[in-house]
Amino acid sequence: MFIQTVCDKIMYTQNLSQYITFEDMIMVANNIPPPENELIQRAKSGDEAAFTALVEAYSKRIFNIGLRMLGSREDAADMTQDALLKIYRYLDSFRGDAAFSTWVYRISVNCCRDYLRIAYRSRELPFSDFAEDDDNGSAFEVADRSAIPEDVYLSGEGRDYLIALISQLAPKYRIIVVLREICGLSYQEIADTVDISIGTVKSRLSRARMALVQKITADREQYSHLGSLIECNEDERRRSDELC
Amino acid sequence: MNCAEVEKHLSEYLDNETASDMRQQIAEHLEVCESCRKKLAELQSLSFSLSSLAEDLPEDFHFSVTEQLSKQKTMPDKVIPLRKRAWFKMASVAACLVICLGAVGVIVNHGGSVYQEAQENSAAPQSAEYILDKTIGSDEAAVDEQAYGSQNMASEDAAANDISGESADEARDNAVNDIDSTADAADAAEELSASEAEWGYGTILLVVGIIALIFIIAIVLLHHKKKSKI
Repeated sequence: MFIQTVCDKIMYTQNLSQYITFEDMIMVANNIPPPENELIQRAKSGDEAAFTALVEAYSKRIFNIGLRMLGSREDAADMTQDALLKIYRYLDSFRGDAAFSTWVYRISVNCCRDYLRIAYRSRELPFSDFAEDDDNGSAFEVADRSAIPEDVYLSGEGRDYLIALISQLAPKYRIIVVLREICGLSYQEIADTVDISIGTVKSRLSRARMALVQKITADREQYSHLGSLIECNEDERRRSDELC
Repeated sequence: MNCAEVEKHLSEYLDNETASDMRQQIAEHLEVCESCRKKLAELQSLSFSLSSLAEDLPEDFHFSVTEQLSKQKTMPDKVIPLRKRAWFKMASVAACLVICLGAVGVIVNHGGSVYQEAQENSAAPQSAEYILDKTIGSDEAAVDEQAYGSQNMASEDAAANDISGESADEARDNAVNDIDSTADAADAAEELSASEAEWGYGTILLVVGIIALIFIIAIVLLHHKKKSKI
């Protein structure tokens, strides 16, 4: 069966005047999905199954961007659907100049921005764009404690509190925190996605993190359990020592 | 490096995004500074807490291109219509205001010039007489002076007395003609300035308003054809 499959692959590649590599044989043997470029080409030619397989890996991250930026699971799911549909529609315009992942995140972040803009407009609040250069003022949009309900402070291990705290960050700081801390993007990927310089990514992330630590430190005096959010456990202490 | 400088770069140090020489300097500072070590540990712990906020997709989440495309055809667009946008409303009001101002400006200027013209017409005989008297007076003085000059010049030539008399008459006619032409030019200039005032600011405002309105209509027409941005 294995030999037959490999032979089929060889015949297929010979027909296309291509070379089969050792990695291809391993892939066929281990049932590994075809590489991203191949999926992109197939999706471009209208293969919906290839497109579904292509964006499957990104759906969760796109959803999490929406969830933490918009604050509601329903809105995040809608935003994810919209972003995936836009990716499908504009796939032909993807030339491969940047990484496909960056292109996908850029569309998702733009989609998220549109949703946020509508939400801000409906509340008649001014919306500052993610790519705006002006980094003056506080990283927090709402500085007072009253914005977070009391039960959020008291709930569990502080997860709800942390979610509420992130939602208080100004959108241009929040998006950097979400892309870095929740989606795990590199500084370069964040810069390309949001269309800002690496220097801006560094300064915004630093300011946002410091503001969050400061707020948690202040709230910890009244709600001691919140201290666990910024106190090291053993593993973290070991990693911190390694860094030093 | 001091604590303030290190604190500024702690975040990127945590993510291993600092340049190697700076990384070395920060590491050296951290070895001796308990306070900065504590801050680094807090940042690291916060980062760990934040990374745990990632959630799975909803169980009922399902993406199908075909379904989405058909759904979009039946669902209304989520984009706010252009006519409901604040800037569009403001631009429309501004354009209408400019047109109104322009129209009022034209009417006022035009009405004013008509009234002024009527006033000038009623005052014309008196002023014409006055101007005529004054012109003739100055005319005679000028001619006398000119004739006196001519006579002086002609006194060297006794035979030229008659001729000087004739030249004095000619000079008088020329002077009257010159004054007439000067008065015509002044009238023409007044008419020109009156027409400029009539079609001045009001017209400019009106034209600007109409251009603004055309611009807004063009935006509305283009908006319907414009593809939504990626």
